[in-house]
Amino acid sequence: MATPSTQATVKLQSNDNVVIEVERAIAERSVLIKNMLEDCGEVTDAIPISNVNESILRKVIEWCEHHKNDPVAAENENDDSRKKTTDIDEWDQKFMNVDQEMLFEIILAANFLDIKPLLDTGCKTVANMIKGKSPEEIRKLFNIQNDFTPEEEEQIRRENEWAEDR
Amino acid sequence: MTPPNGSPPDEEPPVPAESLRAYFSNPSFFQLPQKIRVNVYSHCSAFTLLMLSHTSKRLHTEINRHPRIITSSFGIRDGFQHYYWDIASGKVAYVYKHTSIEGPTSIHTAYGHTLRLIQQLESPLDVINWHTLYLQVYSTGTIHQVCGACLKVIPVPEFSYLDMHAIFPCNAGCRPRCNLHNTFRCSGCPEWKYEPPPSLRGNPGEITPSQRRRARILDGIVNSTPPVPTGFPLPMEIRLQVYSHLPAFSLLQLASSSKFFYGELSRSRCLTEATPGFGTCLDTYWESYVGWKWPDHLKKLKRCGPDAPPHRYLTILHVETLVGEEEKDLFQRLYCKEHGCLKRGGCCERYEQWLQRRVNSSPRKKGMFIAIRDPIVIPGGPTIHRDSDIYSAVVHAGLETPACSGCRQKWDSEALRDSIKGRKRTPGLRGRSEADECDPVLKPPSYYDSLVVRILHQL
Repeated sequence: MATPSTQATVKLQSNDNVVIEVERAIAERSVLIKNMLEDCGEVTDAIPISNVNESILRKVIEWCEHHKNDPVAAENENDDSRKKTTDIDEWDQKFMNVDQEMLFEIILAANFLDIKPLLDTGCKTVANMIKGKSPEEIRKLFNIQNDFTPEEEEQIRRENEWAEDR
Repeated sequence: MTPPNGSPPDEEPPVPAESLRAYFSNPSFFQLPQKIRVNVYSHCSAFTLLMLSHTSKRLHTEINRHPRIITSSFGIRDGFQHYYWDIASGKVAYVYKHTSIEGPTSIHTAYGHTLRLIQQLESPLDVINWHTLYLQVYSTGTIHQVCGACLKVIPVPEFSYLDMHAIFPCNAGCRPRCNLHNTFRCSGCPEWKYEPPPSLRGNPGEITPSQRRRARILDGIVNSTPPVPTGFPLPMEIRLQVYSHLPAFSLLQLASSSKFFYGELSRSRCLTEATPGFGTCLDTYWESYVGWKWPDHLKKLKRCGPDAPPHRYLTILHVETLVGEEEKDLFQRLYCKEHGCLKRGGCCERYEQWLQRRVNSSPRKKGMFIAIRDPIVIPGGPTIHRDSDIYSAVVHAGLETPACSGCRQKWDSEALRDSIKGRKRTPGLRGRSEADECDPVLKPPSYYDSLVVRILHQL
């Protein structure tokens, strides 16, 4: 076990080889980096974040900076209460107001870096995008090909025609 | 010690000559070699094998030791698919794959051949044995009757709200559900007068060909493995998180957008059941009425509702509550196209009151069996409920179609029946166009009240 480090900043290297220096407290919003720093002690080299490119990494760091003082969720926190609502903080809503490709990349980066609140916010954002949309609108939104055969589509329509106003 | 009759103690009493003759003229079944016994079994029906297996421990063991004897016999249940050796007990365990509307389930029937595995009898003698030896009720709520024509064992749902003596009378007056003194006919037999349309044809509780076809199509979608949509490039664990934030109605829309989502969301029911707004619909709604001779006052009770959908996948029937304004808007857009509002579902306060009364006398609680779907609830908004549900109940209860309080005309009963059978025909007033139809919401509360009272009274 390495001795606890006292360094104030850490360097993160994106997969396009850009090194970004951030405060350690901010970087430690990522459980992955936090554990790595705890295990390795003082790290002078840049930590490679192989799955994340520069622009996404900067976005993630931006989120971490804004939320650096947030209380860290307990490990065994009941997930149910978290899932019941799709309310998103106003700042987070603006933060997530990016194009779809970037949104998915932020979610994937949050997943990779193990930043649960960010991942949660991303998932809620996607859920909110889906809410209130018809299948056709969802297809358009996510560029999903309608791969149902006409027979299958008709069948699904019939399964759900119960509440139709005849 | 000498016995009182004076014969030596170790000498066996002489076997009477008659017994010896009987013994050799009627040799034991076990004198036949096993190969021949197995051949004999192959000619026996499932019910005969059951009888045979109950004659002696040895026969019971022999018949049950070789599952092929049973599985290849006549009259074994179709869904009976496999068996396995229970190593611990050293016995054959039978598993009957039962496919119901709710989905396939495995019924562990016990170790050995049981009555539950029998689908059809072979001869009228079997029918007599069936009725004299065995109870006709396997489990709560289901009576197993044997059709007098095809000798098929028909599971008949038991309706707790109906008088058993009236529904299952005995001509000799011995006991209800006696099937010895009168003849039960299943719907598939020519004696049955009522001819349901092909889509509805079938025995009570059985899946109709139409339902089977529908289930096949949906199963095909669920079992297919389409690629993850390129526009939704999230790994499964994150997709599951996204799903967990979606209410049931939104999940339904997502499932309808592509094969991939339909399959993924349908494969695991726990995904959808945990979502807000999910609620089980009246499970028994799609059960069948066909197949029984109804008392006169219930003659109009036929089959309930249009083709039954397989309930195992998420459908609108599982949406109990809409969450949020956006879902409400979408619901209006998708399901209330023509009217642009929910008025046909009943928006007024009085309707709510009526609905509350209906909930208090829930069909689930009373075991009733009327075509009323659970309402879809919008928090803070009107409760949505289809008017035609009431009409369905009216027809099912065998009531006369009600008159409109506005124009005093009677509702077109033919159109109501068509509506119930799933045809695209709006229940309306006789001789009036749909546009001219009176608005049900404008009806006074007494209209609904009296209707419900009459339905409940009739049932």
